[in-house]
Amino acid sequence: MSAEGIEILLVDDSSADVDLTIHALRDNTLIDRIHVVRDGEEALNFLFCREPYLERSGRPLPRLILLDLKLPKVDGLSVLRVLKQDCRTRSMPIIVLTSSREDNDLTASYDLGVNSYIQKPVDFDRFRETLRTLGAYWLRVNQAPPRQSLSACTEKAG
Amino acid sequence: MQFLKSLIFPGGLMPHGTCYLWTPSLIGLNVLSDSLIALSYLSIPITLVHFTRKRRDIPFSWMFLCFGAFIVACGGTHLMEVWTVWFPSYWLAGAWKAVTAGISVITAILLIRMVPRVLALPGTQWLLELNQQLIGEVEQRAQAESSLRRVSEELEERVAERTAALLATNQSLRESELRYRTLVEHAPEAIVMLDLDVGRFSDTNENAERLFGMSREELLRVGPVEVSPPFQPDGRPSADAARAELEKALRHDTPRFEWMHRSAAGKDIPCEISLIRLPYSGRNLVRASIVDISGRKQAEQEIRKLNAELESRVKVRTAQLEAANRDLESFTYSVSHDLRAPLRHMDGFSRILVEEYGEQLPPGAKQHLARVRSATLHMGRLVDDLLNLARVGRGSLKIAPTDLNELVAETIQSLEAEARGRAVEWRVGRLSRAQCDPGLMRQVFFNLLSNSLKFTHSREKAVIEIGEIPAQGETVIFVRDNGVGFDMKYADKLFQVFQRLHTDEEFEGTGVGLAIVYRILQKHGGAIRAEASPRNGATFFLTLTRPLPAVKAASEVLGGAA
Repeated sequence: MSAEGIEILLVDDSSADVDLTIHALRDNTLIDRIHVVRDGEEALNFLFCREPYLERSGRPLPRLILLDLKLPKVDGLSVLRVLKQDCRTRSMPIIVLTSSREDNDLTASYDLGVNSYIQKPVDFDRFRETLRTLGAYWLRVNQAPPRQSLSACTEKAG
Repeated sequence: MQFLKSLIFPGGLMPHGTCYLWTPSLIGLNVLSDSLIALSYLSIPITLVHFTRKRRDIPFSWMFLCFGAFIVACGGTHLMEVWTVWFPSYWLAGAWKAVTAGISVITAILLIRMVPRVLALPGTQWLLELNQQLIGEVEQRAQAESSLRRVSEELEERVAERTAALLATNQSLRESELRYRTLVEHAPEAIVMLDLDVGRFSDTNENAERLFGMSREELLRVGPVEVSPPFQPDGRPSADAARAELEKALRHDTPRFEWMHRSAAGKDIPCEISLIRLPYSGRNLVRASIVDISGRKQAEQEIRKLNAELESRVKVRTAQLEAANRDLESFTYSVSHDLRAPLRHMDGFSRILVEEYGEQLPPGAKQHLARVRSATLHMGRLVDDLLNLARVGRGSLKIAPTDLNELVAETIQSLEAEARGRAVEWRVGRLSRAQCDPGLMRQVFFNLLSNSLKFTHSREKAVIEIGEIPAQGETVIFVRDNGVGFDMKYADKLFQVFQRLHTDEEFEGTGVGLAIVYRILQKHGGAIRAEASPRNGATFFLTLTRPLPAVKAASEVLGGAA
């Protein structure tokens, strides 16, 4: 991981999906700046610098989170809820990237404040295209809030 | 004595016979005539006396007596004539004559004096007139009597008539009374008449006796309170409650209310009572008709119980259904999530395989991989369509007033990519506003228009028309194209899931799109029908909220082929 820190946090339990996602993003030369976690609990530990990510303390937060909904331990919607309700992580762009196109999932995600919701297309070409557009948009086109580490927020997690 | 002897037998005188020279015939003639005269004269007064005694109404009867005396006297003189033939008692005869003369003079005087009075007596003519008059009067009397008789007869007739009428009235009254009694007696409900002035029943029917378990005589000794428990189910004392209801009846209301009665055996009987005041001179009579509603009450209770049971069963059932729904949802969820993920992986890694190791693969292998990808994508579409169909079936309609023109415009815009590079003419007519679920209707237009776009692929210029036509008061929307159409004998398969009328090589598809359209319209209460012929395009007619009216053949309504 570079000194600039993690650009993208990918939260997905499927190794195949992780491989495909990384493959699709490969051309964006962002591979070394993607961190992959395999469940919701790990994602929260990573972001809040808890065991086993204590050493991340003080480092800036990722610029983008790609979040699957169906996750072991803590599911995607719960992760989303925690992150969007915590003032330290609230401004971080979160994109749900999932196989589901269920109305319930869509509604719940937007209610919780997701920044974007993408159903992974079966067609790999379209998937790759989608991810490229996504990366380009959020990491280059979009103006992100000033990068900050976890401690910058005085408000307590609620 | 001497005097009398000398009077009768005077000396010195000759008997009268001597003058006749004792000629026997002469003496015989005189003696016989005088004797007959004397006899006659003596018989006349007897007749007169008899007459006056019999006819006491005859006026001047004393005159007859005078005549009587006069005639007797005359008769006496003739007797003396006979006597003196043999005995010369001329003194006696002279004396007798003197007496006779006196009586005659008196009678004559009296007679003369009487004449004017006798003349004053009515004469025969007058009597005749009187008689005539009497006859007239008698006739009049007879007439009067006959007319009296007539009047009397008439009167009798009228009396008879009146009597008959009265009898008839009486009869009809009796019948009416009988009818009324029958009505009351055989009424299905118990009926009692309550005399409010004495507070007791004044009449009852058999059903009342049966209801209360009391004889008529027993019932007529009591009032409503005696056949009720002390308190009604709502807690009111029966006496108060009864008074309140009876007062309503007296005010000419017709109260109808539920009431708890108590039979002689002490059994409480829930009843429904209706009261009505009866017209009856000078008395306050109220009729109560009482229906035993024990059965109804019991039925109500049973219904309540059944309802409660039903409710609990509905709850259980609802819980079961909710569980089933959750199962279905989780199934749908896993279909969409778990089934699509492997497909994505199959496609993704096939693609990567070709990209990264393509050079090392023999040409046939690359072709096979392309087929794997194509099959994967097809299955992905199938899964998506099935999920759509399931979503339509499962979701509830969100009805809103919708501008269908907007939906059509959006749909055409979303199909722009597919239409790119092709000559496509969209003929869009004006559509009315509709009450529908806009999201689902967008899907309907998308499926129909993308179908049209797909099946006109082989046409040099695709013409796709959307509009509406009135048909039997309904607005029917149509979507028409000049595509390949289909054979009408397969029309019934058109809207069934997975039924396709073309091969995958000809036209790609899953066979779910029109099934979704059908399901959406069915959910709205509308319908869809297609008309087509091979190579001549297809027309879809649809209604949103009503069954589809019979629409004339598309070509007839819409003119020649587009």
